[in-house]
Amino acid sequence: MTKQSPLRITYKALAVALLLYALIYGLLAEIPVSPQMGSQLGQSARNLLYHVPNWFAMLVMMGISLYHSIRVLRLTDPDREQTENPLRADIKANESARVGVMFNILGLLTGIIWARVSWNVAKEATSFSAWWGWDPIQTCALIALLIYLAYYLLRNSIEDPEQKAKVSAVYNIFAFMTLIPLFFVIPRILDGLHPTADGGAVLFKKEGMNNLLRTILYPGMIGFILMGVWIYEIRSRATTLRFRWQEWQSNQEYDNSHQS
Amino acid sequence: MNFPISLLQDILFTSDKIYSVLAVVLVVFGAFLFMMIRQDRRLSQMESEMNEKDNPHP
Repeated sequence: MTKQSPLRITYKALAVALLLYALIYGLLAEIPVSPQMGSQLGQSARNLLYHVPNWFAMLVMMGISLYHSIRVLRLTDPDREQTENPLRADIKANESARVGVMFNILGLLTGIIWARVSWNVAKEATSFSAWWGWDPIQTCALIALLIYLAYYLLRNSIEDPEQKAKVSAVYNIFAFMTLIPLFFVIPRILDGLHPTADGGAVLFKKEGMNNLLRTILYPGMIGFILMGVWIYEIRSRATTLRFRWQEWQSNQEYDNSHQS
Repeated sequence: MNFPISLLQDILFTSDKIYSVLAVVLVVFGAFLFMMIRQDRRLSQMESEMNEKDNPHP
């Protein structure tokens, strides 16, 4: 069996430890009801510890996807020496975007439930606005999800693997660029239901959040990101293995046909 | 208030049910981890078999 490097084992163990810490301490710690958090949140304020890390994990996964998409374009450049098969980089770009989409969906779901019990508690459960308030951040997150779902539609519409890799790499670069206005610019311009401090997100502002929550939220964020990297690693290794197997089979068929 | 909001309200706004929530979360997380580790080990084994195929020993 191939031995894993100590770095790989360390990051996986760290992911498990940090997530266990965030889950156990996050659910059992006495939640302070500070003026910033608002007393109407009650125990649901714990959702902050599991809702917010999804978005950071999503951004990291989309960043990894962007990196591999740039590599695809460099590797398919005819003026450069081809050091690696560009399709392998495309597999990594595709799989990391997939994990990013998973975090986006988890972030939206945890947000929808939280919004229902905190912002829209007075509304009837059957009404759409009880679950979805068209808050700018919420809407931008949905737009980001749709942009990345279109990435998969695009991929599935192209049959030639090399062309698919190149076209989807270009699209992926643009998709990542849209995340900057969607997550960092528009929510700061438009007023919404999400809490803000000094016009920005409360997470990293001194007056924005209680220190106890910080001690759970920040390690939890790292745990979510490392777990995302682990899922991505497993998925890309599995797909790369399938790719290698197909390459090996076609090489065998080629050798056999030339021997006979 | 209708289900499932009544249940969510109950869980999210009171602290006495948090141990049940924690138990469910830990069981789900444990099952997920078990699956991840098993998948990881299986992949390592398949990778070494593939390496063997690509570079067979003389």
